[in-house]
Amino acid sequence: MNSLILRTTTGFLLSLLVLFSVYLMLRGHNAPGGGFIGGLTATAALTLYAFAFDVATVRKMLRIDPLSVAGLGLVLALVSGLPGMLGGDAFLTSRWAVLALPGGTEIHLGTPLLFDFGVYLVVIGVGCAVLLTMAEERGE
Amino acid sequence: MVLAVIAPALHRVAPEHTGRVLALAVAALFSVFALTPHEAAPLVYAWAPSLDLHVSLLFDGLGKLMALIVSGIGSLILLYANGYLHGDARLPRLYATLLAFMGAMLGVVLGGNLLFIFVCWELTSVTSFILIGFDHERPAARAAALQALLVTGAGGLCLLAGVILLGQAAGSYELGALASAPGLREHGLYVPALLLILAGAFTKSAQVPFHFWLPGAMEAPTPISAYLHSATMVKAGVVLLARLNPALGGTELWFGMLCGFGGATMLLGNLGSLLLTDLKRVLAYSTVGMLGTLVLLIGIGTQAALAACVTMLLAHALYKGALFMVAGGVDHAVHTRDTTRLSGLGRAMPITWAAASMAALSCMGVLPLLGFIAKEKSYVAALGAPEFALWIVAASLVASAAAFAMAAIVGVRPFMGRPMEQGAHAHEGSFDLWLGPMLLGVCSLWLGATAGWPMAELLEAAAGSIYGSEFEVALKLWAGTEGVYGQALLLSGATVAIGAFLFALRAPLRSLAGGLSFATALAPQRVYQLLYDGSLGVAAQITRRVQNGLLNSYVRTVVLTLVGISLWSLWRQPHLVVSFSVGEIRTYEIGIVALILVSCLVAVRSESRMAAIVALGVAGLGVTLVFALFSGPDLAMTQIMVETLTVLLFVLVFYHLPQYARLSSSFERVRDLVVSLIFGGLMTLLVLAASTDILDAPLSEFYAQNSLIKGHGRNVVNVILVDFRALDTLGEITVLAAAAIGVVAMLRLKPAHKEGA
Repeated sequence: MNSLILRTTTGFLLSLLVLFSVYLMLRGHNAPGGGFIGGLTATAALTLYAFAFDVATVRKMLRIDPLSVAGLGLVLALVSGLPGMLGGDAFLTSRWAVLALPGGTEIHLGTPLLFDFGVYLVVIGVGCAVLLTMAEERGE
Repeated sequence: MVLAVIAPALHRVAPEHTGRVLALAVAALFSVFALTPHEAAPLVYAWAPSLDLHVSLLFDGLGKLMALIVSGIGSLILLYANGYLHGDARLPRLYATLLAFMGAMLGVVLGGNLLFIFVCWELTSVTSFILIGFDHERPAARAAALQALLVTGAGGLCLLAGVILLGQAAGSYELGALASAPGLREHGLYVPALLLILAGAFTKSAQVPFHFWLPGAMEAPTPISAYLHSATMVKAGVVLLARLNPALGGTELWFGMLCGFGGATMLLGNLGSLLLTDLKRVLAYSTVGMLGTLVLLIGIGTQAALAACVTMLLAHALYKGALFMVAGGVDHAVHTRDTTRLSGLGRAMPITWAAASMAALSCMGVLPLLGFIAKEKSYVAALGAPEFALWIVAASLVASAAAFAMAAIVGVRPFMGRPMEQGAHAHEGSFDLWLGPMLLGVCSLWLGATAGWPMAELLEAAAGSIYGSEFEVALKLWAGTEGVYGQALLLSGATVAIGAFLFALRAPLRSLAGGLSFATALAPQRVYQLLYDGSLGVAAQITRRVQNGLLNSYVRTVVLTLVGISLWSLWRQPHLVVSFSVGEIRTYEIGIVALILVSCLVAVRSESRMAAIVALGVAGLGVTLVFALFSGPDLAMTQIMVETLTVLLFVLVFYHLPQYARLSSSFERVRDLVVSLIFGGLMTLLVLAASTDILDAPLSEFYAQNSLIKGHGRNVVNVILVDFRALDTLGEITVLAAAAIGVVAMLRLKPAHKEGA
């Protein structure tokens, strides 16, 4: 597609959408959102970019193959299950640490967050792999 | 097993001596076994206790005897392989597989738990497959390997079924518990369990009618044939029967089956061996015969028979291993294994000759070798059989006579007479090649001349562990001429006479009986081939029917299966209440439902694909609205994203599709309509059933209450996904990633396919 307006806006939209998807993922534990929704949002954003420019640009921007992103996500999700197991509990038992920041804010960090990040990456990787490959097919 | 892993690495360091070093290591293992006193109580390590699966090692008399055979001959074989396949690039692989096999075989003979024995049993089948197919570039070797794997594998499955039935009947898989289980022989499952186990043992130990795979397995290099297919693996079936004798033996069925099949195998194997000319095949058939003898002896089951069985087991391992290695050495020296052409090698290969003579004499059962004692014992056993003694004695006489002639053909004839033409190049192999057969031959002689010292006590213990309790086994070189011993001696004399007669007549016998008896001997082979081709054909048919490449039929199959299963489980719900109690209906709800319905109709009726896709999208967004309104924000968001991406996908695929056209007949359209309506109806039913209370209410309450406390999160849906049920999610994302790999692979492969077409 060759639309100047779409191209210009997509440049801004992409960063906003990806940022939003990360936000969705992070807040998922306490409010609507999560890795799955975040991942889908990011995939949609990247697909939009692919429509505005072309698939090659998106691939160049991603730097790594989408399937590798999915693989990385799977590894992260697996790793997040290990601390619980090392502690003598069942695989994937959650572990939490509370970080107290100056100013009275507390941040709860736990293995489920890592797990959710893994889900996020898998969804992006799978979505992009399928959509981008199909879009390439169409181009030929 | 550990050695199997380091063998290839070792080979890189010292290619010349790998076999020797490994042989020494295994010999060390042998001495450890030899020095450890045997005991009846098993060592138990829990592996999967919930399945009653323990690694229990039973180092009793039989276990020790077999462990000594496996490790002792194993170490000689490793040495032999070093010389036989000298400089072959595949040698490290051979060592690794041989050692892996050795580990598995030790597991079989020392295992005290039937399930553990089964696991090792299958491992020996697999390693045997790799070893027979060692020359995997030759089709004959591949076919033989596959045949061996299929026959023993099928037997293995029978064995597993039998073992499980037996475990059900006795309540344990431990051999000790089985032997003392009361009323096992009267149990209803006894007969099926016994028959299945026998099927497993008979295939493994090459009993008629499953014997055909063993001669085929001679495609393997000689070290492998010598080790797996004469001394050790094929004995696994015999060992299993021996192990189960205290638990299952002593019934009419046991006696009949073992004596019948064992006797038939004994006759067929020994007589068949006379009709062949290939050294290794001759030996293979004679091994089949010997395995039959062992099964027969276990079947007879008297003290005398079991004593004969263990003596025979040891004697056979010693002489047959030696004869195989001799055959390999001869083949190595003059490049032929044809017994009609081999002659006069004695002068060129004196050491091999000596080894061969000792082994052959033991096989003939000549005084004063171990084979003689074994044969005497088996005659005594046959004379003392509780039933059909006359028949068994006659069969044993014929078989032993044939074995006598066979040994003469294999172990004596090639070394006597005029030197053959190729004999000029004949030379003694390296030290690696003759040490093995020589040592085994000397053992045969030594154990015979000293009447079993220092093994006599062990043999007694081994026979005791087969029988179930200790008894005295008198190993004597000269048992006297009184009573049964005298008769046995008489029979031995007859054996020698008939054997010499058979040997003299071997050529006419071959031409006379060759065509006739081979047709019968090969019949099971033909049945196997028929079954093999048949099953491949059926598989192809099924694939054509099921994988017909029509997406439509796949979807229909999946949907109908789902409907069937769901309805079945709903039907079985005892308190299924479906109520249509609907609360207050608001105007906008009617609007949304109408929107969804209309867009569905448009999607179905539309003549344009694009319109159908958009209409589907609208229906999906309508569902999203429902989620959003009924406080499911997570679902609504997910649904929006999924709908968006689905429409995108459709648009992308759209370009690949041909022009819209009506292809299906009206019958197919009606059928699809019916399937769709059924599916829709089922989903409605499920939703209604779910909204009434068949689901466990406390479960959702548990999640709601514990989400913040245990999961540190206020979003219950998310906490369930990433914490409480994280393993499910992990499975889902794994499937997702695998599916993506599949899609990408399919899409990328297509252009290549186009080019090819």
